Amino acid sequence: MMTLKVSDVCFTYRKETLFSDFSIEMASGDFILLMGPSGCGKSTLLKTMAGLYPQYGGKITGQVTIDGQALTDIPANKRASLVGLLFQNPREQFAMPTVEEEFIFTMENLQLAPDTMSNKIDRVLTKVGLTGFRKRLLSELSGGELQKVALAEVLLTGAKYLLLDEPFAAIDPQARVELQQLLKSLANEGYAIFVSDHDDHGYLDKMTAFYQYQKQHFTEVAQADWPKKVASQVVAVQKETLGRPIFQLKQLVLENDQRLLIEQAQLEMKSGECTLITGPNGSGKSSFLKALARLQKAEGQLTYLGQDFHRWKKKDYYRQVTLAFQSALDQFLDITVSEELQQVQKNTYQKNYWSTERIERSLHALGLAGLGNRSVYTLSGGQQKKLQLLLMLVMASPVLLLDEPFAGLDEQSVGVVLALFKEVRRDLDVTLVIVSHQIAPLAPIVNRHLALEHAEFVDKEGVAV
Amino acid sequence: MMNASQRLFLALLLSLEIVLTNSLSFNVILLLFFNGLILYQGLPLKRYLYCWAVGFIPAIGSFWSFYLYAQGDLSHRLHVGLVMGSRVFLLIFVGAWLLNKTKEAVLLQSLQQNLHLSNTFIYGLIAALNFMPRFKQAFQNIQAASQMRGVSLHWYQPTLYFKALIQAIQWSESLAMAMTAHGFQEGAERSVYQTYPYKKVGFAWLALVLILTIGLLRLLPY
Repeated sequence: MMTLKVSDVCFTYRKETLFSDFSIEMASGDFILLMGPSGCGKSTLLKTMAGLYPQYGGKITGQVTIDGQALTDIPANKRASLVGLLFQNPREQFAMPTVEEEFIFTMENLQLAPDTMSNKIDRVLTKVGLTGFRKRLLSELSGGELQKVALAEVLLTGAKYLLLDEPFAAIDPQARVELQQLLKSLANEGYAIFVSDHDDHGYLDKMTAFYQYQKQHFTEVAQADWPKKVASQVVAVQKETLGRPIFQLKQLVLENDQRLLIEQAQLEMKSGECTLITGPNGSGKSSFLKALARLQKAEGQLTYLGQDFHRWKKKDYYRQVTLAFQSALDQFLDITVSEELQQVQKNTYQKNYWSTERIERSLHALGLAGLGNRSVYTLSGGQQKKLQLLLMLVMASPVLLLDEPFAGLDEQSVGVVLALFKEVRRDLDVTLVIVSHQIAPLAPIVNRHLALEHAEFVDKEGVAV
Repeated sequence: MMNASQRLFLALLLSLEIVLTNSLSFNVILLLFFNGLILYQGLPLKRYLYCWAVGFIPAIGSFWSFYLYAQGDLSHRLHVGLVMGSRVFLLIFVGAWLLNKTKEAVLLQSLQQNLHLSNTFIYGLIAALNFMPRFKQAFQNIQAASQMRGVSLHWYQPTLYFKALIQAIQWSESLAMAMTAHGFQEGAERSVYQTYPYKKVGFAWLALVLILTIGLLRLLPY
């Protein structure tokens, strides 16, 4: 009976069903991978399995039980010693300032004896390879270190079922490999591991079961159908000789959390290009876009239209260069959908082009028609993303940077968005720089592919899909 | 000598006396005393100068407004102005003394233990303090996002705060979930690793300071 059992769970939030009929049984020694695109409900599923939903909202049918007891009947301070959860964003899972205080907070919650705490802290830190980190400030640790701290914290509780929600999204490849190995050794010791990710890299030789998101369901994939390391097809990049150089970057050095991300001697980007940037998780793609958008510090000689970044007034710069943020909510300024649209229509750089009819047409194509009076904050994740992209396309600044523009979009929406990208590029000569994990749909429209390899951009002739 | 709660009580007690008194010499004596004390306790010079810098404008402001507009003759107005101006610095330095040797988290935890405040309240505050540095980045992002949409949001515009509030709500929710996932249950018993009991000698100090200051106030003429 020692299992974490999920039976026919269906999750509904604001009348929208995220996933349904999910069942799974986890037992000691399991190492299960759950894959699906961003926004499909992976986080929600994991939080449901950890008992955070329905406590924090949503409607759930079906049942989650641990060792035969319904999860909803167990108070949080008992639950934490049975099942542990690592969150996607390593910076948003700690309440206290230092590693030691954070660990003590958890152990106090579980009413562990004070005189055993100190030894426990040392033991778990050794286990995850962070000896000497006890007094460190959490705000000064890197993403990879924070995820190890989070893992150590879960180990303190004695929980045998460990749920990890895209734990590698913000960390570098080396830390990813280390953590995956650590997880596998924990599974061998008798823990049950359940990881969600949108990348199967490094799991194939470790996992014992594999689930994938298909048509609103998480379904188990038979071992015969597990992804294999297949030789991928390469689509040649259609290079064009294009306009004048706009970004000229020399001796670019980009760091994050005291970790070197990018060191580039020279990079030039031309107007009218559609550049795709790829690279492993945490390699610095988003940081690079933020540096171009002047939202992250970067060293080096960086110029836009021949003028140093810092000599541009922010206000003027942002009329030239705009960024579609990874999180759509960061982009919104008003409350309702129609207020947002009116705002961009008033401020667009292409007033003649973006007529009311054209905007209406795009709204229809995106499936956003009739939502005018809805608050942007109550739209679904996918609707928010589509609205955000439309807003930025209507603004039509000369350069548009896009950070994971397809995150959380279904196939059909991706098609519509791509068609809009193409149209805007053709008609308005907007330069696009796109960071995306979903490469296949983009391959036909990009004419430059920069791969971030070993902290440096490499111009690729093709796009592997 | 005193635990963190007792230090807070002393600071509050002194602040009350400071705002109720009109004695300039009392203010000056305390100001000299606290300046000496925090320098003796090893407050970094930069922070020490920062305390003076922060107080400068409000102190000058209160001095001027009382000096120019208070009732009474010139010497009375000068007196009131100086009392008000020195009061600003004195309150700042009492605060600096309180926080110099006491971490916010320790102060909050000792208040929780000594006064039996709600854990939800205390840990909510501690977590919120840890999030403060991230607000700076959030504000920058919001301002950039608005400029990318062709408008500039300034510090006096409510939209800026509305967006910041939404950000804060998101953070607070993920933080609440993280605390729950780490076993925090509202109203539940917790064990305590570090205790911060009241110290008997601390109460003696409190009483002594109270008597001394009241005595001073009686004796000091001006």
